[in-house]
Amino acid sequence: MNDYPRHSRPSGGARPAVYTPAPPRPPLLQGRPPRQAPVYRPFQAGPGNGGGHRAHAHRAHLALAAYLLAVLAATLIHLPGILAGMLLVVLALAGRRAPAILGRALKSILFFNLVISGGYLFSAWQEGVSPWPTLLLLNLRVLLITTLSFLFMARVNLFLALGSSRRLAYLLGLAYSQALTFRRAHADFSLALASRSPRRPRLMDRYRASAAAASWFLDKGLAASRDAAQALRSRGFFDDPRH
Amino acid sequence: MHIPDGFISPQTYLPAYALCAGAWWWAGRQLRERLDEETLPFLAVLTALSFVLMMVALPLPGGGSVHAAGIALLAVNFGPATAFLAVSLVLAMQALLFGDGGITSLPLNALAMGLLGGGAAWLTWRGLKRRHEGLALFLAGWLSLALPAGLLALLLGLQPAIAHDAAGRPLFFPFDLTVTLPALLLPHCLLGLGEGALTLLGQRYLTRLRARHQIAPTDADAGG
Repeated sequence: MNDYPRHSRPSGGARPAVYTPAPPRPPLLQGRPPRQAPVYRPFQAGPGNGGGHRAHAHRAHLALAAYLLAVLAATLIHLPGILAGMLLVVLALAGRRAPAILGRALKSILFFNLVISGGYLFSAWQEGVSPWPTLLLLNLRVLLITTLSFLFMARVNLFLALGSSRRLAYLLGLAYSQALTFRRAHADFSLALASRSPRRPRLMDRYRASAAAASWFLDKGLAASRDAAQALRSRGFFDDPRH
Repeated sequence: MHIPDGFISPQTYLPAYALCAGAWWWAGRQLRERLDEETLPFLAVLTALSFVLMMVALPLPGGGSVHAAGIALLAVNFGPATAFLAVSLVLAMQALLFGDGGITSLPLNALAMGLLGGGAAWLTWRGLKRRHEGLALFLAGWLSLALPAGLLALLLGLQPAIAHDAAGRPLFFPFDLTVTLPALLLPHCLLGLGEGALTLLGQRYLTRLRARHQIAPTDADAGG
C-alpha cells in the first residue's frame, strides 16, 4: 500500500503558499493479516527458505505415511462396524468439505460397485446364500478407502510428499502439468465436436475427430518436449550437481 | 482397467508392492544411465500423452467405446524399463491426483500393464522387426493389452480363494476365475486389435513428427 503523503492542490489557479499533508488513511485491514496458502517452490529450498520448505515437506511425508497406514488398516479389518466408524472419523477430519468429498467418492465408485454388487447379488441368489454381509463389507471398505484418498488429495501436496528425489519431482511435475493441459484440450475438442454437430455425430465423424485429437496431442506433445528440453539446457539443469 | 481400492486383498497387493519396488529400482537404474536434458522432458510428455490417450475414446458401433493405452508405443521407443516407469507414473497420477483407480490396485496394474505389457511389446518388436516391421508393431500393441488383461483376470479371480471368512464368504473381489477370465480376457483380446492398429499408425506418425521437430531418433525410429 502506498503510504506517501498526499498533497492537496487546487485544480486551477495559483499554487497555494502552504501545502498541508492529508490525514493518514486508516488501514484497510484490521487485526491479523489474512492467512495465505503456502507457496510451493520445488527447486528453491536455499538457505533463505529451506526451513519452511523442509517443514512443509516433513508434514507431507507424515501425511502420506498416515494415509498409507490407514489404507492398510482398512484392508486388514473385516468388521463393518469398525469400517463404518473409520468412515465417520474420515468425514469428521474432512470438516466442512465432508459432503463434497463423500459425493465425489460415491460418484467415483458408483459404476464399478454397482456392476460388481449386481453381479454378486445375482450369483448369491442362484446359489441360495445371503449376499448382504459380503456386499455391506465390500461397499463400505471401498467407500472408506476412496473417501480417505479424496481427503488426502484435498489436503496434501503430493509433489512435496514424493519430492525426495528432484528428478522424480521434476518428472511428476512436468507430466502432471502436461496432463492437465492435454485434459483441458481434450474437453475442448469434445465440446467443439458437439457444438459443430446439430445432430448426434456419425460414427465416421467421431472416428475422424478422435484421430485429429490424437494427432494434435502427439504434435503438441513433441513440441512441448522440445521446448522443455531447450528450457532445461538453457538453465543448466543437468549441470547442477543436486540433480 | 481401473479397479477401485478395496477389491484387492493385502495378501496380494503387499507382495505386489514388494515386486514393484524391485522393478522400480531396476528401471530407475536403467533410466538414470540414459536420462539427459532431451530424454527427461520427452519421457514426461510421453507419460502425459499416455495419460491423455487413455481419455481419447474411439466409439464402437452400438454405443460403447474403447481407448488406447500407448504402452506398446512407450516400450518400442524407450524400452521396457522406461515404459514401466512411465506407466507406473500415469497410474500413480490417476490414483493420487485425479482420483481414478486405486492405491492398492496400483502395483498390480503397474506390473501387469507396465512390466508384462511393456516387456512383451518390446520383446515382440525386437524379435519381429527385421522380418516385418508393421506386423511387429501390430503384435506388440495387441500383446500389450491382451497379456495384462489375462494377468489381472487371474489375480482378481484368485481373490475369493486367497481371502475369505470362516463361512467361505469372499472378503474382497467376489468372483472366481470362471467369471473373471472370460469377462476380462475375451473383450481385451478383441480390443487389442484396435491397440495394435493404433500402435502401428501411432509409431509411423511419431517418426514423422520427431523428424519434423528435430528430436533425436529412438531405437524404433532407427529400426534397431
